[in-house]
Amino acid sequence: MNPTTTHSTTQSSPNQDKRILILEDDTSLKLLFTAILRSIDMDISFDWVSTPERATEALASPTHYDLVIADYSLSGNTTGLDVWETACRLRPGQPFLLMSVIAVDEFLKLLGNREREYPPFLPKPIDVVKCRTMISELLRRGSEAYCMAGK
Amino acid sequence: MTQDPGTPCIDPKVLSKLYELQDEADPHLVADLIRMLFSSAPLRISRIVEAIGTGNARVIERESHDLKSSAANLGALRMAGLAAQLEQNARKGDLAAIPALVEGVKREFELVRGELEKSLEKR
Repeated sequence: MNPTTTHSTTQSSPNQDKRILILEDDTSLKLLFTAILRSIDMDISFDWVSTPERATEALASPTHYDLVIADYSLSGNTTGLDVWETACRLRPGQPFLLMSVIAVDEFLKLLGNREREYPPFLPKPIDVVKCRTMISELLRRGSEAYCMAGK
Repeated sequence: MTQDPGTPCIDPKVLSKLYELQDEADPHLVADLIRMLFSSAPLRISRIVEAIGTGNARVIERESHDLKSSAANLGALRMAGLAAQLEQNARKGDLAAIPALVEGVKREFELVRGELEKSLEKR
């Protein structure tokens, strides 16, 4: 089963052909992400997957992703941070955004000895303005944004 | 996710940001999100009640997690807080307090429904 893909195309734009992989098991957020991405640019498409396994398959595929967005808390024992590590291994330099309901200080504790390098972090519940700003910035900066939160 | 005692049923700032996004991206976004909560929350609560009967903490944790997320996205922070407590108790396997918490979620959901219906009528 392929990831669910949402795409719409208009006139050429800075985000034409930009593609995002979203790993989130709460499907109620799909509607919100669709609107947030549309508000950034109608040309952004995204693949939606609900499990870390599907995300790993997508990351191992030839499909290019300009950004990966993953929830930290997933069903089972795998976290979004584990998926980020997989992304780093399979796609060095892959821009990544991690989101979670956990507080930023708790998130830093979870990082343990990895605190020098970690993905940008978006707290939940999602603030649509902050979410839109972070996604726009990560798409604009591309792989330069890879370690920006860790520096 | 804990709240101050004065936390409103619906955080107006969250709704107003959603309405702003709606105007830019999707003319029915907020109504669609609200309808989604109205249809999914009772189902999730029923699944939690059923899981209490069978002692299935995993289902309670999963459904509470999604309930928390759906409520928080619409600014229903008190309901999200109660769902977060449910989730935490289920994760720890502490099922004793869960029936009372579910009753709290049910009551709060009715308040949330009333507030969100009013919000839709105003638009």
